[in-house]
Amino acid sequence: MLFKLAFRNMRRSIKDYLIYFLTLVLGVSIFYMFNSLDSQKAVLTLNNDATELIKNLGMVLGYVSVFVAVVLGILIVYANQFLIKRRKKEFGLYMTLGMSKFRISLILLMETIFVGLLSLVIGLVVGIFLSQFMTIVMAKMFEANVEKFTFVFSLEAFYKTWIYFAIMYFASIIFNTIIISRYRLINLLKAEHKQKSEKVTNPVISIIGFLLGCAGLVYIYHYFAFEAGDLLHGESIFTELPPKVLIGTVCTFLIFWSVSGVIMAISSVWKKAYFKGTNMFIIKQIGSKLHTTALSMGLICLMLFITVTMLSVSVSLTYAMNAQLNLTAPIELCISTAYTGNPVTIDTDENGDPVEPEEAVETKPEITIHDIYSDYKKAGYDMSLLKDHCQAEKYMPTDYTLLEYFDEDVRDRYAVEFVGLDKKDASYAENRDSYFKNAYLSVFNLSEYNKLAEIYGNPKIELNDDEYAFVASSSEFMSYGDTMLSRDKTIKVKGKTLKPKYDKTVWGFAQISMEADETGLWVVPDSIKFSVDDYIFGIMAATYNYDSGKTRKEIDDVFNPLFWYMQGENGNLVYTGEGEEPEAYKWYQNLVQENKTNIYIANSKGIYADAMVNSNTVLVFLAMYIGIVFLLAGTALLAIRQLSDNADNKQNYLILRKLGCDEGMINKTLFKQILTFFMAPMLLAILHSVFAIAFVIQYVGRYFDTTLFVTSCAITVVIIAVVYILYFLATYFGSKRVIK
Amino acid sequence: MENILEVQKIDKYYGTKNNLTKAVDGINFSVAKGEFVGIMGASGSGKTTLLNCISTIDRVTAGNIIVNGTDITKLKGNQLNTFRRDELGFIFQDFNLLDTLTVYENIALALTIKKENAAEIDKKVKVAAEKLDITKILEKYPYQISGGEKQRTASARAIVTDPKLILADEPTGALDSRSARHLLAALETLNKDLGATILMVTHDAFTASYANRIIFIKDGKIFNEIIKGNDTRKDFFQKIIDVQTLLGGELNDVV
Repeated sequence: MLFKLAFRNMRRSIKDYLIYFLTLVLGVSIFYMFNSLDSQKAVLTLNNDATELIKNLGMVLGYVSVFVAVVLGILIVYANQFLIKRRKKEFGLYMTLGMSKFRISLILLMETIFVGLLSLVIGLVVGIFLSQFMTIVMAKMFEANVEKFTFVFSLEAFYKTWIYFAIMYFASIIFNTIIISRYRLINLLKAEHKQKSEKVTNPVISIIGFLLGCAGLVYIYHYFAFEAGDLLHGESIFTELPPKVLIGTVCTFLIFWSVSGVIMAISSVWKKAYFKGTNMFIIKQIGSKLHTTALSMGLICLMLFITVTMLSVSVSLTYAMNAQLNLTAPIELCISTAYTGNPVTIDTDENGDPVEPEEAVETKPEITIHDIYSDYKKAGYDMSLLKDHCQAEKYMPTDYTLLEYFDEDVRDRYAVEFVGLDKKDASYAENRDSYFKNAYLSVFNLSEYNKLAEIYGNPKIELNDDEYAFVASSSEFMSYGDTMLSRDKTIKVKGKTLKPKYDKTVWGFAQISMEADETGLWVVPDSIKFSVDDYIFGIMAATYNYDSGKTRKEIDDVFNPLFWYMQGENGNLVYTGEGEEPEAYKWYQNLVQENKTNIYIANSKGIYADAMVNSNTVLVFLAMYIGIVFLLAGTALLAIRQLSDNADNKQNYLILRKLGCDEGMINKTLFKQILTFFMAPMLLAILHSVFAIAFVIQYVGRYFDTTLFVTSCAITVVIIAVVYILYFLATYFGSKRVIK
Repeated sequence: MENILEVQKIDKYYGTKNNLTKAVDGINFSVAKGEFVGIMGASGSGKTTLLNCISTIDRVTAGNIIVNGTDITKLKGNQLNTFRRDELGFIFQDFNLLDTLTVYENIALALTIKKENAAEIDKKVKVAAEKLDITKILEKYPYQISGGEKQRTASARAIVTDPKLILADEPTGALDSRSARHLLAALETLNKDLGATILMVTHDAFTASYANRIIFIKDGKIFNEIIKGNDTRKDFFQKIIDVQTLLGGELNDVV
């Protein structure tokens, strides 16, 4: 009998609370999907790094799952309380008929088990299918080949989902029992007639609270938008940030707590709008609910905020990074070498002090410029794997330094922003200038540079015989260059004075890289000849020939291993790769020793792409996992609350009908009310996110194109909005059904 | 005198073919302008069904109901809502006030729904409140006032729109006797001094004694009709009791 009753109740409540049930199903499937990630690697051919990464990722997601389970658990307990509240009258009837509280709890227990089982089964089926989709996403992320389509099923994740959700349902059963044991029959039977007493809040206190909340938020917003950027460079982030986050959180709650009083105050002044149609009913309804549910509204707002920020930042970051990589590494391969012993580079040691040029410079050996391509060919490489290639030489003449080129103000900016010197330091000026004194210009002959620009697809340069152009890709250096070019700064190269051709920095770089980090190239006319006394660097840029039938990864594997060599102390090469040095690379040892060139360093877009995937994957997966769960939990809470509230207000809508409200008016009233409750936390969450994202942009903007980032953030927000709107519509139509 | 309400041979059946209940069975009567008519009957006699049909909350099975020249049985959908809004005023047993609104706002709501001009609203609400003696509690919320005050608020809301016909369904049902008297006196004033036409359903003889004319209903049919005429309320009350006794059952019914 109890069983039958419970089963019928469940069927009925599923119809009423479809949203809750669907959220549960989605929760289960997402839980399974992310926990089964670890087993995905079985079907993917991955390199060691990726395998390791997925293993770690699985571990991190495992820990986060505990947190996710807590969030979902809270959702379940909370939603269940609402569902029970709705059924007071039913329980009252059971009790009048002589059913004990224990047996009512038993009915609830069985219902929970039914709903739990059903949601688990459906959720797992959905989850198992979704995780197949995940395999494809992972394959794309790691550029792995799915050898053949295999159906992945993770027994571990399967069990884990069962156990975690069993615990969650168990918790909700305990809470249900507690609630039931506290009920008194008279309250149950009279639940519908119970008069709600409206707490009238003092408008003055509300307005003060609201203004305080707004002021607090303005302060926090201002801080994150304009001041917090400095934090990113220091360790103060851990001491500075928590109090700000706390203020932001408190202000969020304060605003929800006080906003209803402010609305009341406004409507008491703005009578014309207040006494129009059902407006006063809507406003009073919203006002009283917002005030009493300030805590949950604030929580929902913060959850949505975290969702919006995490999802948009992580997804956008990945998207922006990929787009950026195509910009800074437009082709697949760059092999570079320095022909002259140890060149002086603008390196700094760990304290940020400039490194003195090495003595070896004085005794550099006589060298000849190598054709890198033919060296490889001679060594037996399959050069048909490359499609186009070109080689260019870069020079660093030692008779002119950055100290002469950059004016003092630019040197200051350079030293502080880029080198990281401290202006308050006593020896600051000295350190700064000794740094620039040892830094030489990287110079290209015009035709050499244009060869590279051609293959990269970068803008080409034209010069007259007495002109130079400044090229950079790092945003800081582009601005240093712009400043100097606007001052018509001349340079002296090999004794010849050149004036700037352009008044702006030309965007470009010498080698492919992960970020826009070209720190300055000076392109000079071909008539200027360099000698072996200058530092000389060879750069070969090449594109891959995919007609060969090989993938980027496979061609990478042919050329990349040279990355694993370092020059030893006595000029010998030391293999730093994993395992034994492969026999096939021995040619390279000979090449370096016999021909007295420096090491060849091969950089490929693939390396950067992998590095990016590695650094991003954990972030993206975490953000997706937490973001999706928060979004679902937050919107489901809102939806259930609204449905339940509107069911409570059924009587009020009946009164409105009796007073002669037509259906259109009733629907409008309902719509406006639900819309307000959905929009209020979302609007504040979006406002929060805008500033949080602005904060992130300050950080990543150094490396990425900001517009690209903002666009992809906007796209993410749109996707979130779609989910949100679906929940909103479901709530609206559900409520409409309830109040009929 | 002009008839505000004409009920012509209406039937209301419930149930299926096999189990048909005739809740209202061929009832025929009319209410003239300015009348205060009571409808009495025991539980299940069909009086509430009759009121629901007149108030357009329910539909008749057969027959016509004409309110102020409009046959409401021919109205559909939103026409019904508009009709209810513009022509009728309601007083319910359980007050039906909105908890979230003050007394003032509850009364004003009837006007705002009618899309009344905001400037007019204040004036009308205050006049209505004056008539029902609730001016002092206008800023209070329903939970802060007594049952009698609630019902007077509901009455103020019913008259504020200046309806052709006020329908009251057991208005004293949830009130103590003192509040009930207070309310009925107010209704009487509305009827006498302002010429409001009131149709009140009740099963309480004392409440009914405030009406000018009483229609008794039994098993869906009109059983009797008595008119107060020049009787005092006391005499009229006695008459009502007599009819009720009669109505309560013929001797034959008692086994």
